[in-house]
Amino acid sequence: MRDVPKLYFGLIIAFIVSFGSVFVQQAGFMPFAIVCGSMVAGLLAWRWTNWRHPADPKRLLPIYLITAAMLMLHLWEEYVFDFAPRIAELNGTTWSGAEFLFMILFVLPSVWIMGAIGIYFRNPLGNYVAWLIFVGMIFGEPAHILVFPIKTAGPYDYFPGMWTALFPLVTALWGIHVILDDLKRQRAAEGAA
Amino acid sequence: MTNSTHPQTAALDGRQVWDHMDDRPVRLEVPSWVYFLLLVSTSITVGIAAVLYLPWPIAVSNIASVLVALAFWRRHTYGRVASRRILPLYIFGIVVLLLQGLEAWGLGFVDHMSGWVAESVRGTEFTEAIHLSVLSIVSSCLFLVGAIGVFFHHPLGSYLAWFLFVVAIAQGVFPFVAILPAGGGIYFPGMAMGVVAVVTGSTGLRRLFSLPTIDHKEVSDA
Repeated sequence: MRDVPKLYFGLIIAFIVSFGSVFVQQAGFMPFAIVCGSMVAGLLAWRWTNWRHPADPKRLLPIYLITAAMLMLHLWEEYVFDFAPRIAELNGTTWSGAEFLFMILFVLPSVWIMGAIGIYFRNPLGNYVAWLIFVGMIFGEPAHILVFPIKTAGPYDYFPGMWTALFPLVTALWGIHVILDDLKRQRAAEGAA
Repeated sequence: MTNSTHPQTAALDGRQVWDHMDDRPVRLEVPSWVYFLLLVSTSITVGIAAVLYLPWPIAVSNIASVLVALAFWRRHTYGRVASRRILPLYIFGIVVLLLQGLEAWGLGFVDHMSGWVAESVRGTEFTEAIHLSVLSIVSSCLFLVGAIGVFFHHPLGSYLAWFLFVVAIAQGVFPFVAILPAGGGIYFPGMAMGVVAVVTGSTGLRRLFSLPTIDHKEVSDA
């Protein structure tokens, strides 16, 4: 019988490679490291934890939806205050507003919002998307406070995305806690059975 | 110990208390008519903002969607809430609207609209920033919050479910309506995903009508 989680693993690797190869050329190394690094770290976390034990959607879905909503709000702040050109300046690339919109405001959100359907149906791929987002929030959001403003020439000042950066991080940590706790319960239930 | 000089104090277990508040849990019970009035107020406010800042065809489309959704919600879900089982289609609807926004943005919706109406009645130019902010990004955020409301059986979440599917139909039809006054041609940005949006919206509405609703009071007491 085909091992479905392994198939998903292969699909995810293919997605990361395709997306990453385009993204690094557009945005430069720093955003690539954050976004694709999160994809890889999320993949490993998913593989090592609940890839065969998707979390109970009644516990995970609302937290995931809150995180997704706050992330959209954060991306809106980045769009309004011209995140892409500022990052391009830091990286010495030419990441345009249009490229940012396409990849970060349309393509990726479509993937992670669809991930919510996967979580609803307790699909392993949906749980990978949850890991991707949660790990991404841990890697990427503090950078708006601790990395980007410091790397910018001049005194510490506002960097696009700063005001809304930390809130999705909180719910991401909550989401990870729920995934791990749910996994512990599932394993305990299996052990008892 | 009692304070016999002040009639409004009371002695309780030997303590003087100046008020009668305690820390027992309190449930905020919101009557359905309050939600209805909240929605009416929001509709009026959003409607005014839409007329002031968006080209009138887009404002009319969105105001009509708000009102139709309100009518459906009032008729079918008032005092009750939508089932969580609408969530997969609802979430799919958010993605469809986002992808329609991508198609529209990528293929020059704002430029095409300027061939019909370029400004709001107030003279605010309809720009890409307004198009994206209002019609794609903020609305996606709002609908995601609505999904949380649907999940937790909140009446306002149920309204947003109706609104999402109605707006999917309205935004799906809009490019087909806009094409002639905008200068003709065979394509208007948003048309391709508009077809998917109409199908998603109609399916969603049918499902909302067919799924059993849950008594809001039963949910509150659960």
